[in-house]
Amino acid sequence: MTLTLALLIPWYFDDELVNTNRTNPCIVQCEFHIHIRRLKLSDLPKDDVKLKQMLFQWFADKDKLLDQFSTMSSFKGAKKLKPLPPSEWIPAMSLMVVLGSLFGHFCLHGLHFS
Amino acid sequence: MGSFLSQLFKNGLVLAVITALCVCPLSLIGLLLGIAYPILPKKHYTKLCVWSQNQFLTAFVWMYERNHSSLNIYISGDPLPPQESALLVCNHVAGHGDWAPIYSLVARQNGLGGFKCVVKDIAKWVPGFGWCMWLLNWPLLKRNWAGDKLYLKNKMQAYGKLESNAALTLLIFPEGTRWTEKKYKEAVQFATERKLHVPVHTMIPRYKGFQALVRGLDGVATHVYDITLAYHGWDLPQGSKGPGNFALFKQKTAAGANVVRQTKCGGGGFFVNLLWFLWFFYLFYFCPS
Repeated sequence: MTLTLALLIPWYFDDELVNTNRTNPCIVQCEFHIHIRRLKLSDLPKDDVKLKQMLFQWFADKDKLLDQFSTMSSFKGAKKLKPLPPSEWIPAMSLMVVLGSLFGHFCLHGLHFS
Repeated sequence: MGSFLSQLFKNGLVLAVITALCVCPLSLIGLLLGIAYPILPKKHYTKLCVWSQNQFLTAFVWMYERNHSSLNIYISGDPLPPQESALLVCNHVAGHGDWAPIYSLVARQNGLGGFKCVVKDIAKWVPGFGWCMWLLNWPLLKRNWAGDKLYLKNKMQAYGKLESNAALTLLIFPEGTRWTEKKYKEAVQFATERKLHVPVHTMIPRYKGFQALVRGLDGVATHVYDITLAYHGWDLPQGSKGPGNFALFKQKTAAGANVVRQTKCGGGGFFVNLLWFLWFFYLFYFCPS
């Protein structure tokens, strides 16, 4: 059971084995698009009614932006984000593997002696 | 039938991955934070929260970014400086996947440790994720404005007094709910009745929480980021505009037949597969029996 899982999970995530259609160029690119407007908090209206109107206006603007997006499939001036550097994800991922293992260990340990 | 079983099997595997690398570590983090909460001084507890949240979310971001062969994240508009305290105002498109691009964005600003999101109070009962939200001091709303108004005010004041070196990044989805066809129709009807802008891709924002946050964050955060999210190329179910949490860990080609992954985040293929193997091997063979 363990060996099957241990072998199947890498198999599932391994493109060498799973992707049987590597020559097909028609692969959909999954994309996140994030458009940002940066505003100073102190520049926002002090009056609650104006703040409410401003929020409604923001959402109306978002709607227009998304309308443009639906035809262009991209926001204007979009740049691709770089991947996370290994110096950030390796320690974090290692910690999660250790914590996940410890949790599993404790669960199984408890089950065995109960 | 074969296709159904194959899909069921693959979904099961994805669920196993999420459980093994998200829910299990989170449950243990929650347990440790629960023990640390009454023992540690507030200052040290806050630092522990920031550190553990940063580690978990960095791993989470890396997992879904790596898992997609062709996942590209595009950013446009104003440039953001790192570690800036800000209120993020975002449109809520997807089932549960809207947090993912925001995490990816905040990760690039080194702000995952101080990240918080306004969520429904009921979320705190979700095993792992919910417990940690509560322990990490995220704002949880009961959707009863009389109580929530005071709660938000106190919460924002408490954030101002926290002694942590992480910048506060507070996310709010003013629409208050995810996009569905039914809710969208209600939003259109509401807008028509009140002669507001009739939304096409968004819904009507709820302004009271936003107002309370803007007022409460005065002196705590310096900026507001107006964020517009959009998705392209995802294999989405009918009536959905963006991927859910589950879909983040899966991907299909245009034909909907193959699962594809290539390592994009820097040489993780063999390393991670080895970790998987060691993890299962350790879990099942070396546990005391």
